Amino acid sequence: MSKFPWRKVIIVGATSGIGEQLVRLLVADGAQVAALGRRKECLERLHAELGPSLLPFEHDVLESDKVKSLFMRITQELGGLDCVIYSSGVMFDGRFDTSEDILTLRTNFEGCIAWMNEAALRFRGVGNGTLVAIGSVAGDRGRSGRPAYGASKAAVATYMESLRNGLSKQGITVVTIKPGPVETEMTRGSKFKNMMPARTAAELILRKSRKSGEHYLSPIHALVFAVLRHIPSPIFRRLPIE
Amino acid sequence: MNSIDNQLVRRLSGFGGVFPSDGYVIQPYGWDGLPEIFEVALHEGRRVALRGSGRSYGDAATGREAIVLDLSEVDKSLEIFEDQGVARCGPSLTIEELWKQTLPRGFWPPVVTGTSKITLGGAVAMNVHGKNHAQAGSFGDHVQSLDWISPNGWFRKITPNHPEFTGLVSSAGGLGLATSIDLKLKRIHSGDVEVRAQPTRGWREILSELDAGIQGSDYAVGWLNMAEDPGGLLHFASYCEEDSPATLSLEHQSLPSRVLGVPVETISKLLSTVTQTFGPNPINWAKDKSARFNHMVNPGSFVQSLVAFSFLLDYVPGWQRAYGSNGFVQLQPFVPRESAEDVFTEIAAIATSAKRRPYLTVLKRHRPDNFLLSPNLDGYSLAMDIPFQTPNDHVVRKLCEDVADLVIAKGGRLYPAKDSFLSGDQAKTMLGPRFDRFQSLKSTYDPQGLMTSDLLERWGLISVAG
Repeated sequence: MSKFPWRKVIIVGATSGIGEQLVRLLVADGAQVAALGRRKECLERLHAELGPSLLPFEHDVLESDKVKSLFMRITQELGGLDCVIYSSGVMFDGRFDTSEDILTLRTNFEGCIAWMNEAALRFRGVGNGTLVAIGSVAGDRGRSGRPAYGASKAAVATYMESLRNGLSKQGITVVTIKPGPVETEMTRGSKFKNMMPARTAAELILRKSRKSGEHYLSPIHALVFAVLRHIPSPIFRRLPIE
Repeated sequence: MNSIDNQLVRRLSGFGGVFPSDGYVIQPYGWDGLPEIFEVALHEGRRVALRGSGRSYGDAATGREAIVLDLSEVDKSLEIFEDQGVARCGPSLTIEELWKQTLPRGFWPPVVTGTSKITLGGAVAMNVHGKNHAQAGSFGDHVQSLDWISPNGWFRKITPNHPEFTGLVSSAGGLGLATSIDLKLKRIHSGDVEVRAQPTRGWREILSELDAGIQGSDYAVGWLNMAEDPGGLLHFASYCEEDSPATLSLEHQSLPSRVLGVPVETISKLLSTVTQTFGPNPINWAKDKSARFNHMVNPGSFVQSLVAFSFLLDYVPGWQRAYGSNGFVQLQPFVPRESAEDVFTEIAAIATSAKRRPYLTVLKRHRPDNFLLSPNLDGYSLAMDIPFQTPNDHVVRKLCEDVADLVIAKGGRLYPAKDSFLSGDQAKTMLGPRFDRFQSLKSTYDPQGLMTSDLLERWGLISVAG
């Protein structure tokens, strides 16, 4: 008996962190998963370990012009599609470095749009499907620490909300996940405390992705950020939150 | 059209609603556009599946990730040559659209299915049969010629004299499609049939009485209850011979808007409530008792319009929804005459032990033919509706697989228009030399292996010989 409802899934950003754990959980659940990432050696390792249920595709999310043809190739090889999860992301310290900030926006947001647009077109015709984007609690407010990262995640949340408002009445589930700090390559060496293991985060993401909406991974986060979102900016900027 | 796009993807299933698959659905603007679509398919590395009204119960009109040509509206042309009794039909024309034009002129389609909603292109592709199969043969037996287009670019006229005729008719979309069909019509003088009902019980009696009744009747069908002690009612019908122009009118043929005082639109909801709550037994019991009561009240024969007699499935629009949201399969094994009694007894036992007693079981007599993928043989078929209780009901799957194993072992066959489960190995055993002959035709008509369907893929009939 499967734990999750999806049998054919695309995961963009599958070579490490939350994406890799999502791949492992879904393959273990009996799904066929197309795993996309830049690092060929990671994909080969995963493929060797997880077997034919995993279809590896080398892909750089900055190449958004290649998404349409790749999307169609993948759905053909999968023999259908139930769910797309966008899990690619980069995070730099806020050093007012324009090239880093643009890279952040393009990786976290441009790639998300490119994949979600293709999936939305398909799912709208089919009248079924699940779109999942991994946002962040960092997108809830304009924090001082990483302006571009927070802005990119806010953009993801707003974009996904728009999709949700347009598509959920057509039978499509549209999900934004807002994890707090998770133990991944991206957060290695950071000052975050009480980080959630990537495996736990992935499990929670899949459980919460059955329902359209914005989901935090813990009730405490949901409560805390409900409050933080409503704190006036002059007060928020005085809080010790980076 | 230069390419295909995600926006074209639709989720399609057969009439039973199980095992949907997604395909790129295209409605061709006309036959001239087909070569271009075949080119695009080749360029994009996709196969092409064909779909008419989508009335095949299983996966014969779906193509997973293929280009699915929706042919339901492309060509509904109709020309009737009254002096020859022939109709030249576009393949998108449905049986309903055909009889509505021919009946007032004194002609009836020679073979009709239990629903009038199928397209004639589908009727050719599946070589359908009706309640008169033993007497009149299958649809292909009445086709005088076909204009055929195949993916290798051929347009040609095919008649029964061509050796490939029996392969193209019944090819289930695997060798191309008919773009025009010349059909020999049945001359009739009345729009009514005289129906004789006969209650019967026990397989031996059911089969022998069906055989006896076929002599001297134009149609024969059994409505059965698949209990341990099977029984039901046999209907034998004959065309009324006396001239009766009034009965040839459309008004005379219209189906009632109420059954037992209930609007037909409401019936599927009522049936759904009963079947979801109590299962098949109340329905089967009520069917059996009402048929027997009717026979007791009216033991002789009665007169019915051709439409009322022929198209039981059209009485209740959306009747299939009565089986619930998980859909259903219609299992129709064809079993040779000599082993039918034993095989049907065993099928009933398999269904009983699986606790999936069929809701509606229809018995028909058949005769053999040479159409390659046709299931037709000298014997009988049982069409059984079995609902899915879960989205992928493993109990029903196992039941169907067990029945298929049993039937094939006894030299029987399954009907492509109904099947959802047969494996490639089973199909190859079942079809015997016909399997290789089909593949040989495939190498001539579709050398690049472009034509497909989920059924043909499952049966292993999409590759070419050699």
